[in-house]
Amino acid sequence: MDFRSFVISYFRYEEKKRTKPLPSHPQLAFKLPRISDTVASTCYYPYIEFFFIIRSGFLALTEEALRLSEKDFYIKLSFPITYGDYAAAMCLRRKNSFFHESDINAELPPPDKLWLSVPEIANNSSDMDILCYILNTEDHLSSYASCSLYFLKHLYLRFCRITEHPYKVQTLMTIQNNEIFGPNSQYTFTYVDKPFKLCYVNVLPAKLTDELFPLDFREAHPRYFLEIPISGAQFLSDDDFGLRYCIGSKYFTLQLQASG
Amino acid sequence: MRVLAFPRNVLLDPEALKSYVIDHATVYFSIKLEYYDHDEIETSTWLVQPLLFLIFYPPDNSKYIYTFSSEDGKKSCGISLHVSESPRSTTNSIFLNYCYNYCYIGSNIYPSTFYFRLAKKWRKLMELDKASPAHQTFHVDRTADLAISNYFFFWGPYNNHAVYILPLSFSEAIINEEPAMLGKFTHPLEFLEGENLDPLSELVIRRVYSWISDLS
Repeated sequence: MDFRSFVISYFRYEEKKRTKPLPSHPQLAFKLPRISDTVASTCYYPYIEFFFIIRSGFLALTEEALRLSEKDFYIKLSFPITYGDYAAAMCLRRKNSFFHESDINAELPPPDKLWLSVPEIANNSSDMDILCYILNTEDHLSSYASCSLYFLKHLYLRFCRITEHPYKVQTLMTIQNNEIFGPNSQYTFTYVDKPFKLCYVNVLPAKLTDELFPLDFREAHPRYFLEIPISGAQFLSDDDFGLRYCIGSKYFTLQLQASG
Repeated sequence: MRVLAFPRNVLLDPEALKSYVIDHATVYFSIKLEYYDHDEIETSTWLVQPLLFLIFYPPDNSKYIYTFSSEDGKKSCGISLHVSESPRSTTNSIFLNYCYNYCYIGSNIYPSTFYFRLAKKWRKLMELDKASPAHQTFHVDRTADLAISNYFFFWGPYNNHAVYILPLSFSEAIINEEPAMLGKFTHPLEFLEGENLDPLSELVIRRVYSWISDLS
Protein backbone atom coordinates (compact mmCIF):
# COMPACT_ATOMS: atom_id res chain seq x y z
CA MET A 1 0.00 0.00 0.00
CA ASP A 2 1.50 3.36 -0.93
CA PHE A 3 1.33 6.45 1.20
CA ARG A 4 -1.58 7.95 -0.68
CA SER A 5 -3.91 5.00 -0.39
CA PHE A 6 -2.67 4.50 3.14
CA VAL A 7 -3.65 8.00 4.18
CA ILE A 8 -7.08 7.66 2.62
CA SER A 9 -7.77 4.34 4.26
CA TYR A 10 -6.40 5.45 7.58
CA PHE A 11 -8.38 8.65 7.48
CA ARG A 12 -11.59 6.74 6.77
CA TYR A 13 -10.74 4.20 9.42
CA GLU A 14 -10.33 6.96 11.97
CA GLU A 15 -13.65 8.42 10.94
CA LYS A 16 -15.43 5.13 11.34
CA LYS A 17 -14.11 4.23 14.75
CA ARG A 18 -14.84 7.57 16.36
CA THR A 19 -17.68 7.60 18.85
CA LYS A 20 -17.26 11.20 19.93
CA PRO A 21 -17.95 14.18 17.67
CA LEU A 22 -15.17 14.67 15.13
CA PRO A 23 -12.77 17.53 15.91
CA SER A 24 -12.48 19.72 12.86
CA HIS A 25 -8.87 18.71 12.15
CA PRO A 26 -7.40 15.73 13.98
CA GLN A 27 -3.65 15.34 14.08
CA LEU A 28 -2.00 13.62 11.17
CA ALA A 29 -0.92 10.09 12.08
CA PHE A 30 0.88 7.19 10.47
CA LYS A 31 1.30 3.51 11.05
CA LEU A 32 4.77 2.76 9.83
CA PRO A 33 5.66 -0.58 8.24
CA ARG A 34 7.43 -3.00 10.52
CA ILE A 35 9.12 -6.35 10.30
CA SER A 36 6.53 -8.32 12.23
CA ASP A 37 2.78 -8.29 11.73
CA THR A 38 2.25 -9.89 15.11
CA VAL A 39 3.23 -6.71 16.97
CA ALA A 40 0.31 -4.35 17.45
CA SER A 41 0.87 -1.37 15.21
CA THR A 42 1.18 1.98 16.95
CA CYS A 43 0.22 5.35 15.53
CA TYR A 44 3.03 7.87 15.16
CA TYR A 45 2.42 11.60 14.94
CA PRO A 46 4.56 13.94 12.82
CA TYR A 47 5.88 17.24 14.19
CA ILE A 48 7.77 20.17 12.68
CA GLU A 49 10.46 21.71 14.88
CA PHE A 50 12.73 24.76 14.67
CA PHE A 51 15.99 25.80 16.29
CA PHE A 52 17.65 29.20 15.83
CA ILE A 53 21.44 29.16 16.03
CA ILE A 54 23.49 32.23 16.93
CA ARG A 55 27.28 32.68 17.08
CA SER A 56 27.52 31.66 20.73
CA GLY A 57 24.75 29.09 21.01
CA PHE A 58 20.98 29.21 20.52
CA LEU A 59 18.44 32.00 20.36
CA ALA A 60 15.31 31.28 22.39
CA LEU A 61 12.14 33.35 22.05
CA THR A 62 10.36 34.28 25.26
CA GLU A 63 6.73 33.81 26.17
CA GLU A 64 6.34 37.57 25.97
CA ALA A 65 7.33 37.41 22.30
CA LEU A 66 5.02 34.54 21.33
CA ARG A 67 2.24 34.28 23.95
CA LEU A 68 1.72 30.57 23.45
CA SER A 69 1.14 29.93 27.17
CA GLU A 70 3.32 26.85 27.23
CA LYS A 71 6.74 27.79 28.60
CA ASP A 72 8.73 30.79 29.85
CA PHE A 73 11.00 30.57 26.82
CA TYR A 74 11.24 28.46 23.68
CA ILE A 75 14.67 27.20 22.63
CA LYS A 76 12.79 24.73 20.41
CA LEU A 77 9.54 25.51 18.62
CA SER A 78 7.53 22.35 18.05
CA PHE A 79 4.30 22.08 16.04
CA PRO A 80 2.10 18.99 15.62
CA ILE A 81 0.86 18.63 12.04
CA THR A 82 -2.92 18.37 11.93
CA TYR A 83 -4.78 17.32 8.80
CA GLY A 84 -5.86 20.94 8.47
CA ASP A 85 -2.28 22.23 8.68
CA TYR A 86 -1.11 19.64 6.18
CA ALA A 87 -3.85 20.52 3.73
CA ALA A 88 -3.30 24.26 4.22
CA ALA A 89 0.46 23.89 3.64
CA MET A 90 -0.16 21.87 0.47
CA CYS A 91 -2.60 24.48 -0.70
CA LEU A 92 0.00 27.24 -0.26
CA ARG A 93 2.57 25.11 -2.05
CA ARG A 94 0.30 24.62 -5.06
CA LYS A 95 -0.19 28.33 -5.31
CA ASN A 96 3.50 28.91 -4.52
CA SER A 97 2.20 31.51 -2.14
CA PHE A 98 3.74 31.14 1.29
CA PHE A 99 4.91 34.69 2.00
CA HIS A 100 3.42 38.11 1.22
CA GLU A 101 4.05 41.59 2.59
CA SER A 102 0.32 41.89 3.21
CA ASP A 103 0.31 38.87 5.58
CA ILE A 104 1.23 41.20 8.41
CA ASN A 105 -2.13 42.95 8.14
CA ALA A 106 -4.25 39.79 8.21
CA GLU A 107 -5.91 38.59 11.37
CA LEU A 108 -3.76 36.21 13.41
CA PRO A 109 -5.32 32.72 13.54
CA PRO A 110 -5.40 30.91 16.91
CA PRO A 111 -2.13 28.94 17.41
CA ASP A 112 -4.01 25.63 17.32
CA LYS A 113 -6.04 26.52 14.20
CA LEU A 114 -3.46 28.05 11.90
CA TRP A 115 -5.17 26.52 8.86
CA LEU A 116 -8.00 29.02 9.29
CA SER A 117 -5.71 31.52 7.55
CA VAL A 118 -6.04 29.63 4.25
CA PRO A 119 -9.51 30.38 2.84
CA GLU A 120 -9.65 27.25 0.66
CA ILE A 121 -9.26 25.10 3.76
CA ALA A 122 -11.14 27.27 6.25
CA ASN A 123 -14.18 27.42 4.00
CA ASN A 124 -14.19 23.68 3.38
CA SER A 125 -13.04 22.49 6.79
CA SER A 126 -15.91 20.05 7.16
CA ASP A 127 -15.53 18.60 3.67
CA MET A 128 -13.44 15.50 4.25
CA ASP A 129 -13.43 14.57 0.59
CA ILE A 130 -11.60 17.76 -0.30
CA LEU A 131 -9.14 17.24 2.53
CA CYS A 132 -8.52 13.65 1.49
CA TYR A 133 -8.05 14.74 -2.10
CA ILE A 134 -5.43 17.30 -1.10
CA LEU A 135 -3.72 14.90 1.27
CA ASN A 136 -3.39 12.22 -1.32
CA THR A 137 -2.31 14.10 -4.38
CA GLU A 138 0.86 15.61 -2.97
CA ASP A 139 4.43 14.41 -2.98
CA HIS A 140 4.95 13.14 0.53
CA LEU A 141 8.69 13.49 0.93
CA SER A 142 8.86 17.20 0.14
CA SER A 143 5.63 17.94 1.98
CA TYR A 144 7.57 18.35 5.22
CA ALA A 145 9.51 21.23 3.69
CA SER A 146 6.19 22.89 2.82
CA CYS A 147 4.82 22.27 6.30
CA SER A 148 8.02 23.81 7.67
CA LEU A 149 7.58 26.96 5.57
CA TYR A 150 3.95 27.13 6.65
CA PHE A 151 4.77 26.90 10.36
CA LEU A 152 7.72 29.30 10.11
CA LYS A 153 5.45 31.81 8.41
CA HIS A 154 2.93 31.66 11.25
CA LEU A 155 5.58 31.63 13.93
CA TYR A 156 7.31 34.67 12.48
CA LEU A 157 4.06 36.51 11.78
CA ARG A 158 3.02 35.98 15.37
CA PHE A 159 6.36 37.24 16.62
CA CYS A 160 6.24 40.31 14.35
CA ARG A 161 2.68 41.20 15.30
CA ILE A 162 3.33 40.92 19.02
CA THR A 163 6.70 42.68 19.05
CA GLU A 164 6.04 45.12 16.18
CA HIS A 165 9.14 43.89 14.43
CA PRO A 166 9.16 44.33 10.60
CA TYR A 167 7.98 41.22 8.71
CA LYS A 168 11.05 40.23 6.67
CA VAL A 169 9.48 38.65 3.61
CA GLN A 170 12.74 38.66 1.66
CA THR A 171 14.49 36.52 4.26
CA LEU A 172 11.61 34.08 4.29
CA MET A 173 11.71 33.93 0.49
CA THR A 174 15.45 33.22 0.66
CA ILE A 175 14.72 30.26 2.93
CA GLN A 176 12.08 29.00 0.51
CA ASN A 177 14.08 29.56 -2.69
CA ASN A 178 17.23 27.91 -1.34
CA GLU A 179 15.28 24.89 -0.10
CA ILE A 180 16.74 25.33 3.37
CA PHE A 181 13.99 23.09 4.76
CA GLY A 182 14.25 20.37 2.08
CA PRO A 183 14.59 16.73 3.19
CA ASN A 184 18.14 16.55 1.82
CA SER A 185 19.21 19.91 3.16
CA GLN A 186 22.12 20.20 5.56
CA TYR A 187 19.84 22.30 7.77
CA THR A 188 17.31 19.56 8.49
CA PHE A 189 17.30 16.21 10.26
CA THR A 190 14.76 13.76 11.62
CA TYR A 191 14.42 11.77 14.82
CA VAL A 192 11.85 9.78 16.78
CA ASP A 193 10.79 11.41 20.05
CA LYS A 194 8.77 10.07 22.97
CA PRO A 195 5.92 9.30 22.94
CA PHE A 196 5.46 8.22 19.32
CA LYS A 197 6.50 11.51 17.75
CA LEU A 198 8.15 11.69 14.32
CA CYS A 199 10.09 14.95 14.32
CA TYR A 200 11.29 16.85 11.25
CA VAL A 201 13.74 19.45 12.50
CA ASN A 202 14.80 22.68 10.79
CA VAL A 203 17.93 24.40 12.06
CA LEU A 204 18.33 28.06 11.11
CA PRO A 205 22.03 28.97 10.86
CA ALA A 206 23.32 32.10 12.59
CA LYS A 207 23.22 34.18 9.42
CA LEU A 208 19.50 33.57 8.86
CA THR A 209 18.69 33.91 12.56
CA ASP A 210 20.38 37.32 12.53
CA GLU A 211 18.35 38.35 9.49
CA LEU A 212 15.03 37.26 11.01
CA PHE A 213 15.86 38.61 14.47
CA PRO A 214 18.48 41.36 13.94
CA LEU A 215 21.05 42.01 16.63
CA ASP A 216 20.06 45.65 17.11
CA PHE A 217 16.43 44.63 17.67
CA ARG A 218 17.53 41.94 20.14
CA GLU A 219 19.60 44.47 22.06
CA ALA A 220 16.79 47.02 22.07
CA HIS A 221 14.15 44.48 23.18
CA PRO A 222 15.87 41.96 25.47
CA ARG A 223 12.56 40.86 26.99
CA TYR A 224 11.66 39.00 23.80
CA PHE A 225 14.83 36.93 23.60
CA LEU A 226 17.04 34.65 25.59
CA GLU A 227 20.49 33.96 24.19
CA ILE A 228 21.49 30.54 25.49
CA PRO A 229 25.22 29.78 25.35
CA ILE A 230 26.18 26.34 24.09
CA SER A 231 27.13 25.26 27.62
CA GLY A 232 23.62 26.12 28.82
CA ALA A 233 22.07 24.39 25.84
CA GLN A 234 24.02 21.23 26.68
CA PHE A 235 22.60 21.37 30.18
CA LEU A 236 19.04 21.72 28.82
CA SER A 237 19.58 18.92 26.30
CA ASP A 238 19.54 16.23 28.99
CA ASP A 239 15.73 16.34 28.86
CA ASP A 240 15.26 17.07 25.18
CA PHE A 241 16.16 14.61 22.42
CA GLY A 242 15.76 17.25 19.72
CA LEU A 243 18.13 19.70 21.35
CA ARG A 244 20.65 16.95 22.09
CA TYR A 245 20.67 15.84 18.43
CA CYS A 246 20.72 19.42 17.17
CA ILE A 247 23.82 20.24 19.22
CA GLY A 248 25.49 17.07 18.00
CA SER A 249 24.43 16.76 14.40
CA LYS A 250 24.05 20.35 13.26
CA TYR A 251 25.32 23.02 15.62
CA PHE A 252 29.04 22.45 15.18
CA THR A 253 28.99 21.65 11.47
CA LEU A 254 26.94 24.76 10.70
CA GLN A 255 29.21 26.91 12.84
CA LEU A 256 32.24 25.43 11.09
CA GLN A 257 30.72 26.18 7.74
CA ALA A 258 29.93 29.75 8.76
CA SER A 259 33.48 30.27 9.97
CA GLY A 260 34.81 29.34 6.53
CA MET B 1 43.33 1.87 29.25
CA ARG B 2 44.34 5.17 27.67
CA VAL B 3 41.74 6.70 25.38
CA LEU B 4 41.50 9.60 22.99
CA ALA B 5 39.85 12.77 24.30
CA PHE B 6 39.53 16.35 23.14
CA PRO B 7 39.02 19.54 25.15
CA ARG B 8 35.27 20.22 24.97
CA ASN B 9 35.62 23.52 23.14
CA VAL B 10 37.46 21.75 20.29
CA LEU B 11 34.18 19.96 19.50
CA LEU B 12 32.00 23.06 19.78
CA ASP B 13 33.99 26.10 18.67
CA PRO B 14 35.42 26.30 15.13
CA GLU B 15 38.27 28.58 16.21
CA ALA B 16 39.26 26.20 19.00
CA LEU B 17 39.30 23.29 16.54
CA LYS B 18 41.50 25.18 14.09
CA SER B 19 43.93 26.10 16.85
CA TYR B 20 43.99 22.49 17.99
CA VAL B 21 44.83 21.22 14.51
CA ILE B 22 47.58 23.78 14.04
CA ASP B 23 49.07 22.98 17.43
CA HIS B 24 48.96 19.21 16.85
CA ALA B 25 49.79 18.91 13.16
CA THR B 26 52.80 16.82 12.24
CA VAL B 27 54.42 16.01 8.90
CA TYR B 28 52.42 14.20 6.22
CA PHE B 29 49.13 15.74 7.36
CA SER B 30 48.72 13.56 10.40
CA ILE B 31 47.75 14.72 13.86
CA LYS B 32 49.45 13.94 17.13
CA LEU B 33 46.51 13.33 19.38
CA GLU B 34 46.36 13.20 23.15
CA TYR B 35 45.35 10.12 25.11
CA TYR B 36 44.37 9.93 28.76
CA ASP B 37 43.74 7.30 31.38
CA HIS B 38 40.08 6.38 30.95
CA ASP B 39 39.24 6.13 34.64
CA GLU B 40 40.82 9.50 35.36
CA ILE B 41 38.81 11.41 32.78
CA GLU B 42 35.50 9.56 33.00
CA THR B 43 34.03 12.26 35.24
CA SER B 44 35.76 15.16 33.54
CA THR B 45 33.54 17.91 32.19
CA TRP B 46 36.42 19.51 30.31
CA LEU B 47 37.57 16.51 28.28
CA VAL B 48 35.26 14.75 25.83
CA GLN B 49 35.94 11.20 24.67
CA PRO B 50 34.99 10.17 21.13
CA LEU B 51 32.87 7.02 21.26
CA LEU B 52 32.29 4.98 18.09
CA PHE B 53 28.96 3.24 17.98
CA LEU B 54 28.88 0.43 15.44
CA ILE B 55 25.50 -0.61 14.02
CA PHE B 56 25.23 -3.76 11.93
CA TYR B 57 22.94 -4.09 8.95
CA PRO B 58 22.13 -7.12 6.78
CA PRO B 59 24.18 -7.67 3.60
CA ASP B 60 21.46 -6.06 1.47
CA ASN B 61 21.72 -2.86 3.54
CA SER B 62 18.03 -2.86 4.37
CA LYS B 63 16.79 -0.75 7.24
CA TYR B 64 16.74 -3.59 9.76
CA ILE B 65 19.34 -3.60 12.52
CA TYR B 66 21.12 -6.41 14.30
CA THR B 67 20.07 -6.67 17.95
CA PHE B 68 21.45 -8.68 20.85
CA SER B 69 21.71 -8.61 24.63
CA SER B 70 24.55 -6.53 26.01
CA GLU B 71 26.67 -7.46 29.03
CA ASP B 72 24.17 -6.10 31.54
CA GLY B 73 21.28 -8.00 29.94
CA LYS B 74 19.80 -4.97 28.21
CA LYS B 75 18.70 -5.09 24.61
CA SER B 76 21.31 -3.47 22.42
CA CYS B 77 21.64 -2.62 18.74
CA GLY B 78 25.37 -2.05 18.53
CA ILE B 79 28.76 -1.80 20.11
CA SER B 80 30.39 1.29 21.57
CA LEU B 81 34.15 1.63 21.38
CA HIS B 82 36.61 4.18 22.70
CA VAL B 83 39.57 5.14 20.55
CA SER B 84 42.66 3.63 22.13
CA GLU B 85 46.28 4.63 22.03
CA SER B 86 47.59 1.22 21.12
CA PRO B 87 46.78 -0.95 18.10
CA ARG B 88 47.02 -3.99 20.39
CA SER B 89 44.36 -2.82 22.82
CA THR B 90 41.39 -5.18 22.70
CA THR B 91 39.04 -4.03 25.45
CA ASN B 92 36.09 -1.94 24.27
CA SER B 93 38.33 0.10 22.05
CA ILE B 94 39.58 0.61 18.55
CA PHE B 95 42.83 2.05 17.25
CA LEU B 96 42.63 4.70 14.53
CA ASN B 97 45.19 6.76 12.69
CA TYR B 98 43.88 10.28 12.22
CA CYS B 99 44.90 12.64 9.46
CA TYR B 100 43.57 15.90 8.15
CA ASN B 101 42.73 17.36 4.82
CA TYR B 102 44.99 20.33 4.21
CA CYS B 103 42.29 22.09 2.19
CA TYR B 104 39.89 22.03 5.12
CA ILE B 105 42.29 22.49 7.95
CA GLY B 106 40.46 22.58 11.20
CA SER B 107 37.23 21.18 9.90
CA ASN B 108 38.01 17.77 8.58
CA ILE B 109 40.14 15.54 10.77
CA TYR B 110 39.28 11.95 10.03
CA PRO B 111 40.79 8.48 10.39
CA SER B 112 42.31 6.83 7.36
CA THR B 113 40.79 3.60 5.98
CA PHE B 114 41.00 0.80 8.49
CA TYR B 115 40.19 -2.83 9.15
CA PHE B 116 39.26 -4.23 12.50
CA ARG B 117 38.13 -7.42 14.13
CA LEU B 118 35.71 -7.47 17.04
CA ALA B 119 37.09 -8.42 20.41
CA LYS B 120 36.24 -11.93 21.63
CA LYS B 121 33.81 -10.57 24.22
CA TRP B 122 31.72 -8.89 21.53
CA ARG B 123 31.89 -11.85 19.19
CA LYS B 124 30.36 -13.98 21.93
CA LEU B 125 27.67 -11.46 22.82
CA MET B 126 26.69 -11.13 19.18
CA GLU B 127 26.98 -14.89 18.68
CA LEU B 128 29.56 -14.34 16.00
CA ASP B 129 32.14 -16.52 17.67
CA LYS B 130 31.35 -19.56 15.56
CA ALA B 131 31.98 -17.81 12.26
CA SER B 132 35.44 -18.09 10.77
CA PRO B 133 37.84 -15.26 11.74
CA ALA B 134 38.16 -13.98 8.20
CA HIS B 135 34.45 -13.19 8.17
CA GLN B 136 34.59 -11.34 11.47
CA THR B 137 36.88 -8.67 10.06
CA PHE B 138 35.32 -5.41 8.95
CA HIS B 139 36.70 -3.01 6.42
CA VAL B 140 35.70 0.61 6.88
CA ASP B 141 36.24 3.04 4.07
CA ARG B 142 33.58 5.62 4.84
CA THR B 143 35.95 7.29 7.23
CA ALA B 144 34.53 10.74 6.50
CA ASP B 145 31.69 9.63 8.80
CA LEU B 146 34.27 9.71 11.55
CA ALA B 147 35.61 13.21 10.89
CA ILE B 148 35.79 14.69 14.34
CA SER B 149 33.15 17.32 13.59
CA ASN B 150 30.65 14.64 12.55
CA TYR B 151 29.53 13.39 15.96
CA PHE B 152 25.80 12.78 16.43
CA PHE B 153 25.32 13.75 20.05
CA PHE B 154 26.97 14.12 23.44
CA TRP B 155 26.27 11.41 25.94
CA GLY B 156 26.91 10.32 29.51
CA PRO B 157 26.22 11.76 32.94
CA TYR B 158 28.68 14.57 32.22
CA ASN B 159 27.93 14.77 28.48
CA ASN B 160 31.59 13.95 28.06
CA HIS B 161 31.34 11.39 25.27
CA ALA B 162 30.87 12.49 21.66
CA VAL B 163 29.07 9.64 19.88
CA TYR B 164 29.98 8.85 16.27
CA ILE B 165 27.75 6.33 14.53
CA LEU B 166 29.31 3.94 12.06
CA PRO B 167 26.98 1.71 10.02
CA LEU B 168 28.48 -1.61 8.96
CA SER B 169 27.04 -4.44 6.89
CA PHE B 170 27.52 -8.10 7.60
CA SER B 171 28.94 -9.94 4.65
CA GLU B 172 26.94 -12.58 2.80
CA ALA B 173 29.59 -15.07 3.90
CA ILE B 174 29.04 -14.54 7.59
CA ILE B 175 25.27 -14.88 7.20
CA ASN B 176 25.74 -18.08 5.22
CA GLU B 177 27.89 -19.49 8.00
CA GLU B 178 25.46 -18.40 10.72
CA PRO B 179 21.95 -18.35 9.21
CA ALA B 180 20.42 -18.00 12.70
CA MET B 181 21.70 -14.43 12.68
CA LEU B 182 18.96 -13.48 10.26
CA GLY B 183 16.40 -13.83 13.03
CA LYS B 184 18.13 -11.14 15.05
CA PHE B 185 17.52 -8.32 12.63
CA THR B 186 14.80 -5.99 13.93
CA HIS B 187 12.98 -2.97 12.58
CA PRO B 188 14.08 0.17 14.47
CA LEU B 189 10.55 0.92 15.68
CA GLU B 190 10.11 -2.58 17.05
CA PHE B 191 13.38 -2.12 18.85
CA LEU B 192 12.24 1.21 20.33
CA GLU B 193 8.93 -0.23 21.48
CA GLY B 194 10.70 -3.07 23.27
CA GLU B 195 11.60 -3.11 26.96
CA ASN B 196 14.86 -3.04 28.89
CA LEU B 197 16.74 -1.11 26.21
CA ASP B 198 20.36 -0.13 26.48
CA PRO B 199 20.12 3.69 26.89
CA LEU B 200 22.85 4.48 24.36
CA SER B 201 21.32 2.13 21.78
CA GLU B 202 17.98 3.86 22.23
CA LEU B 203 19.51 7.30 21.67
CA VAL B 204 21.29 6.07 18.55
CA ILE B 205 18.19 4.50 17.00
CA ARG B 206 15.97 7.50 17.70
CA ARG B 207 18.39 9.58 15.67
CA VAL B 208 19.47 7.28 12.84
CA TYR B 209 16.11 5.73 11.96
CA SER B 210 14.96 7.55 8.84
CA TRP B 211 11.19 7.40 9.32
CA ILE B 212 10.69 9.77 6.44
CA SER B 213 12.02 7.21 3.98
CA ASP B 214 9.59 4.64 5.38
CA LEU B 215 6.73 6.97 4.50
CA SER B 216 7.80 7.78 0.98
